[in-house]
Amino acid sequence: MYGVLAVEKVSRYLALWGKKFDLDKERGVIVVHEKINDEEVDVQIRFSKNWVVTLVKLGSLKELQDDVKLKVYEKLLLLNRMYAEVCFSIDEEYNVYCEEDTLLEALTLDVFLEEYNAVLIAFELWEKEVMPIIKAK
Amino acid sequence: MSLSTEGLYQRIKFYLSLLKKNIIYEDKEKFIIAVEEKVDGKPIVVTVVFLQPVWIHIRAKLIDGSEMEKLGGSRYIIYRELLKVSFRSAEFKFAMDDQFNIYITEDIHVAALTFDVFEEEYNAIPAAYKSFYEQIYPEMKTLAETQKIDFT
Repeated sequence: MYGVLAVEKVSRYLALWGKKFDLDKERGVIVVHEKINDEEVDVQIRFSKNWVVTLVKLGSLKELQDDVKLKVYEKLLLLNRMYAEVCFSIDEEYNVYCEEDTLLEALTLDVFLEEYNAVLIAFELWEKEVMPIIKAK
Repeated sequence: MSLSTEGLYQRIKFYLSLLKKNIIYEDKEKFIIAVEEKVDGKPIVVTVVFLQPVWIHIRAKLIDGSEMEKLGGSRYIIYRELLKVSFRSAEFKFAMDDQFNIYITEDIHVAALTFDVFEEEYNAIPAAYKSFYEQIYPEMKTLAETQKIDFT
């Protein structure tokens, strides 16, 4: 279940901002097509009863050895502490995400832009701070 | 409504008074307010600070870094569980400092600071604390026992 009004509100914000995006009305999911450092990145925006969830999938840790996973997890948790706006998390399949959650009652253009920009910052942090750990394995 | 630092400080103190919270320490100059909470009868300290320029940051320490270090390499299991819980629960964000202390943290953009939002974010802290001690801490104890580590 998701709030149709919230979807419309976010779609309008994205349109005002000049972002390229697709809206899956049935699932209530928006996918924004970003280009960061020449890399195509899809930012997903999902809606639930109380939350707008903006997230980007950053990569998978599944194939990494445990000692490398340890270093990556530590880095992600440290970055969560260092950057107020950034929240890294992982799913059951060891995919890493940056996720920003906005309470529906806090959803304004200013707040949305700040939360949205946070996932773009997180993508850059992932490239700069985490990928070197993975590549050094 | 004022968005000055003074205005924000007073607004948060007002919200905490409405919520009948027990403020145990405050430093207006540094914008630090510490509140004593009880989770299942256990006292915890919730700290509210202002991170310039736009974030109200609420946090509580979940476990001391020295305890984490005792687990050695197997602490990755705990980190993994914390990051998984963050993914599953919109309101939970776990973080670590360079002393390996683990925190639950919430951040509110100043433009989103209303009583309802503050209350929701604040309440996520004791909820996460409870969730940590019910779901993750037992795994830490088991790991410690397996490795014959003295764990508090």
